[in-house]
Amino acid sequence: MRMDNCSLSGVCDEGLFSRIFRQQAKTLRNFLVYKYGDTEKANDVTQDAFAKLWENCSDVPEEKAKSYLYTVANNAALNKIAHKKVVLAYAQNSTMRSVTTESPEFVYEEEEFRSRLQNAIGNLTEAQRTAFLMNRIDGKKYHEIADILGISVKAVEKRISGALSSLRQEIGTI
Amino acid sequence: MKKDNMEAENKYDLARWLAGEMDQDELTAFRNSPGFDDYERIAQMSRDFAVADFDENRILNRIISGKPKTIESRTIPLYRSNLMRVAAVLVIAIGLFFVFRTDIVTEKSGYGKTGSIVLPDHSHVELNSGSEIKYDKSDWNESRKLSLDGEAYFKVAKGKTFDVATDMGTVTVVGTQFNVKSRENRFEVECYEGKVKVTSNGRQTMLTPGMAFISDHGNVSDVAVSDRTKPAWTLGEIQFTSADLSQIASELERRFDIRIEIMSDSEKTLTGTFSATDFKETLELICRFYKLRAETRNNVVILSADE
Repeated sequence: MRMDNCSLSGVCDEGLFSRIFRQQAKTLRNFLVYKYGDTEKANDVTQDAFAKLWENCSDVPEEKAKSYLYTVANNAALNKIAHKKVVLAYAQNSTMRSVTTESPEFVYEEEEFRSRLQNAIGNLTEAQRTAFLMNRIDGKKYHEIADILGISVKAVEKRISGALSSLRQEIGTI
Repeated sequence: MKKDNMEAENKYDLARWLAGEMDQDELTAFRNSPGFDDYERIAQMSRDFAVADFDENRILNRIISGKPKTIESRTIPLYRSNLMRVAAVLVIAIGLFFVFRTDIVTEKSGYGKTGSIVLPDHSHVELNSGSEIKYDKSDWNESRKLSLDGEAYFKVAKGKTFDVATDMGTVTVVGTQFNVKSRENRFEVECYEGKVKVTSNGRQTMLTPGMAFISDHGNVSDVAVSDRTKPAWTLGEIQFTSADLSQIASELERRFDIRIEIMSDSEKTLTGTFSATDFKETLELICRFYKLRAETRNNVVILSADE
């Protein structure tokens, strides 16, 4: 039952490959960071997945490229990455607050809340955290997340709602 | 809208709120519910988290130019001044390390031994000699996924998809019985019950009972037919399907917990079933097939051409 490449063109064109890379690489890499918490390994696995796609470019049609990448990355991740600590930075150029008007108490309280939130995010289930951070940090819409994870939009909504509800609970009870 | 149980009951409403999909009435009700301020804060603050930057251009160039990744290349980001400085300040300033809750279970069977494992959903795994599986217990019900190095026979409980990931491919199934062998450059999957999907090198093959998938050094051979109902190794046998001498020797090493050295090379491949309990008999049959002579020195079985 050998499958022939027949008319499928593959992704060997450098321009096409670059476009796929720019569309997918960062999302894939961040997904791995949220899942496993290891930025360096996530970078490696992402690079390896694309290198493998490039190596086998004639066998993979464009519309299959994304699922190919995630399959390769997930397999590699399962073998190579042990779940561990993550470094989530807090973007300083946040436009949310203007520093001048805040009292020291408010700043302190804000920091306290933030560190609780970070802690609570680490305690989410892998499924909840991945969906939640893809939405919050990468700004992915639910249908995009559903597409990437291979689940329904309803399932994404359930994970996001679950994440919000656990976060609030955990922050409230520390 | 049911205002009273807004928080607890509605599984999807928080997500709809976050996506700005609530209508005016729902929104008013939600704003008046006790958790609203916290949710609002979580939503705002979480948007401002960031992960370390990812240098797309560098990585893309490296892939296209075909340069292998080196140890050195990993450290390069340290010298990318601006980004790294910002990142370092952020990391030090806020110190955001947190630990994920996971529970990775590793099960191994040594040489000369086999193992039997029951997974959290009561799926059964039998491990052949010198094999290892790993899975995340805490996440098991969410995604039934394990990694395999070696060979194992699976009896999967009915339920969601069940994934077995190996270096050479992934096997996806629902409620079924199958054997996966992932050794050196050889990847074999045999299906005994239900349906099995094999993904290897970006290709997918569907197996039904009696079908087998074999890939050797990346060459996929046509799907063979097998009439067994369980893998030979679970019945005290050793089964070879067009295996070469070095693959045969590795299998014997694992099954009998011995060391073998081959002083002769042969291109011939062997198909057949041998005893996994009677080492002498098995060795003799293989020696006869390959015209080899066996002698034992320092606990190593040396196979050389029989002139």
